[in-house]
Order: sequence, then structure tokens, then C-alpha cells
Amino acid sequence: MKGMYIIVLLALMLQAKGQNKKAFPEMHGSYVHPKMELIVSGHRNIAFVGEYGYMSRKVDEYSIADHDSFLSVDSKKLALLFYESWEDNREEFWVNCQHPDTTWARLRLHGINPGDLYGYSRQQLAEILGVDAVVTIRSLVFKKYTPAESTLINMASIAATFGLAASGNYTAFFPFQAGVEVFYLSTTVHDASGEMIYLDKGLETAFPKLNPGGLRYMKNQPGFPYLRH
Amino acid sequence: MSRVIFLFLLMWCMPAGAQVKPSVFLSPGSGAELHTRIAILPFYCIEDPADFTGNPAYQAVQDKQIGLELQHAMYTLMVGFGPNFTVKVQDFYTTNDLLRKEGLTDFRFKNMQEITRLLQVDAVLWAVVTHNPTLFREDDSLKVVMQRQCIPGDAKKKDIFLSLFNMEGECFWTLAANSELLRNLLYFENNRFQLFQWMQELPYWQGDKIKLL
Repeated sequence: MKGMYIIVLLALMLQAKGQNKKAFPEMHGSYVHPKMELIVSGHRNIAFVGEYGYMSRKVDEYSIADHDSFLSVDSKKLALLFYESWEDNREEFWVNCQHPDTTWARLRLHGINPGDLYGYSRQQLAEILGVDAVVTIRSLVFKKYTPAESTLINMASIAATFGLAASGNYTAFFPFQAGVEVFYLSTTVHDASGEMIYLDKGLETAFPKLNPGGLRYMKNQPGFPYLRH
Repeated sequence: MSRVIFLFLLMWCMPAGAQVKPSVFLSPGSGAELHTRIAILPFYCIEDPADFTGNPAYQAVQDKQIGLELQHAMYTLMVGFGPNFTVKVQDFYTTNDLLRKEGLTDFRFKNMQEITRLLQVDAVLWAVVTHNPTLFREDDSLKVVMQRQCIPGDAKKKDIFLSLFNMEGECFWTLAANSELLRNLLYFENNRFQLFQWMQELPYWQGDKIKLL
């Protein structure tokens, strides 16, 4: 009788575990448009914009003006970093990338703060920038750093994301590797119609790529549209 | 002894997330099955007044930021589960663009009929979120991230009220959940089972619901 109890419960346990595994669909926080390859095949020029946010209880030690300034400056640095990665690895990409100075100048010309792009459709941005697609990198910091520290840490994470860690260009930033509180990073690509064609988001994106010896992230992530495979 | 083992195994078999199951209301005859396109509004976030200790001016900036992040997280989730939903979700940048042009930032006292018309969608998803300092306090958030665990909140206290409004401006679906689900939404993959269960509660989920044990 006692044995029966245990057998029944063991069977229930096994069934429960199996059902969970079977029922739960794979979800990596990524999205690839079903017709992405077709859509991007006509793309020649892209622009890169950065979105940057802080979430920390202690960040209120800074003034709001400082906060806005951080967002503007850091988003530009994100964009510049991507541009430099594109320039250094030009043969890896098959599209042209607009220089962030041009991107920023065009946005400002239209009265848009490049550090605060949450409220603008990517269709509008693509039109203003005269590009086929807009790549947005979002980075969220959950720990207070000094502005210089947070910028360096983010540069390191982005550098790693785009494979520059292995090239050694940004090795100097890796002393900050221990500060992996920068955990939230997403990449989205919108075409000129404003439709999202690629999204990659989540913890998985940010952490492992801080390993300087790691392989190139984007090359190992199926889906990022503008890298030669 | 065998009774102890039996009880131990029985408890082990019980679903871990049962105590945080959200409360859901769906209005009969909501017409949700006819909807094809919805939009997600930036969530309205406010720090729990009982816990508030911060700088009010900065807190407003941070609450706005959290609302946008949660909007983004919800959008990402729904897009990620795309084939499981009967509706298409409007790109959140497009949503925010249309709202910005009309100067709309606070939806607490807005007629949602106007919002659905403005956004040209069949329904809008919006949430009111009350968060407490532990949700975003750096030590806790770091712990959550690094250990990939949820810090259990008060299971009975509802901190997030997610609602769907139709083209008549009527609220036809609500979900009330505690901060644990809020954490899951923001940190995305801490507890995928609960998120999945949550997603299934949306009236646009197609097919049979999968009961997770």
C-alpha cells in the first residue's frame, strides 16, 4: 500500500515535469519578421540610434537636468560605437551605415532630441534620416554609476555584442566587466514603413557577451539582418 | 514515515505558482474575437505612497521610464507569442508617436474610445502599476538578475491592473496580479512559466489553454 502511494506520486511528478517541458513553447525574446530576408534585400543604408535609461533608487542624487544630459550623451555614444564597429568590420556588413553626426544633425534639424526617441515612429525617423532602416539599441542601467563609468560599461557591453571584444579594440573597458549590472539590452530593426523586422531582447543578450574571449555575438545569433553569414 | 514522505512528495508536486494566480475578468459578449489590431499604451506607474521616500520630481521621471519599459516588455512578449494571438499588435513606437502628436501622456481620465480612434485599433491595452522601492532597488534588482529568481511579493496584494478597452471605450477585460508578475514582465525570463500562464489569460489567445503544472 505504501509503495503504491509512492509509485502514484512518482508517476504524477514525472507527468508534471514532462507536461511542462512539452507545453511551454520556446521563447527567447526575439522576433524575426517572416519576410525579413525579402524586406532587407533592398536595403542599402541604415542609421543607428541609441536609447538609454537609468533605473536606480539612488539615481535621484543627480538632478533631472543631469539625467536628461546623460540620456542624450550616452545615446550618441551608443550610436558612435556601433558606427565604429561597422567601420572596423565593414566587410562583415552588407549595408552602409550613416555616420551618427549626420543622424544627430538631421534629428536636431527637425527639432527632435536624439536622446529621447521613445515617442517617434521609426517610419518618421527613417524618412528624416533618409535611410532604409533604423536600428535601435536600448540599454537600461539598474545601478548607479558615475556618468563616465556607466558610459564605459555600456560601451563594453555593446562592443562585446558586436564582437569587438575579440578584436581587442575595447579591451581597456573590460576592467568594468565585474559591473555587470547593465543587464538589459535590446536591438530592434525597423524598416522605412515603420514595421519592426527584427528584435532581440533580454538578459541573454547582455551578459555572456561581456566575456572578452567570447565569439561574435551577432554572427552567432540567427536573424540580425545586415551581417554576412 | 511513509506518511511524511507522502506529504513531502505531494507538496513537491503542487504547482509552485498557484498562489500568485492573477484575478481575471472578461465581460461576456466582449467582441474580442472580432478584433484584429490592438495597441499597447505606456503603463501608468506610481510608487506605492506608503513606501515613497524619493525625490518627487525625479520620481515622476522614473515612473514614466518604468511605464515605457513595461510597455516595451509587454509588446515584446506579445510579438514573441505572435502566432498564439488572434490580433496584431501595433508597433509601440508608432503608438507613442501618435500619442505624442496629440500631447497624450496620462490616460487615467481619458475616454479610451478617443484613444482607439486616434490609434486606429480595435482595442487598447493599458495598465496601472503600483510599485514599491524593492522592485527597482539596486541591491534587489541585482539579486534578481544575477540569481534569476523572483523575490516573492505579497501574493494577495494586487500591484498591476491590466485592462483592455474596446472601440466604445468600455473596459471588457482586466487582470489583477501581484508584484511577482510585474517583476516577471520586466525581467522577462525569471519565471517563464508564469508569464506564459499570464499571456494565456488574454482574450486573444487562440487554441486551448495549456494548464501548466
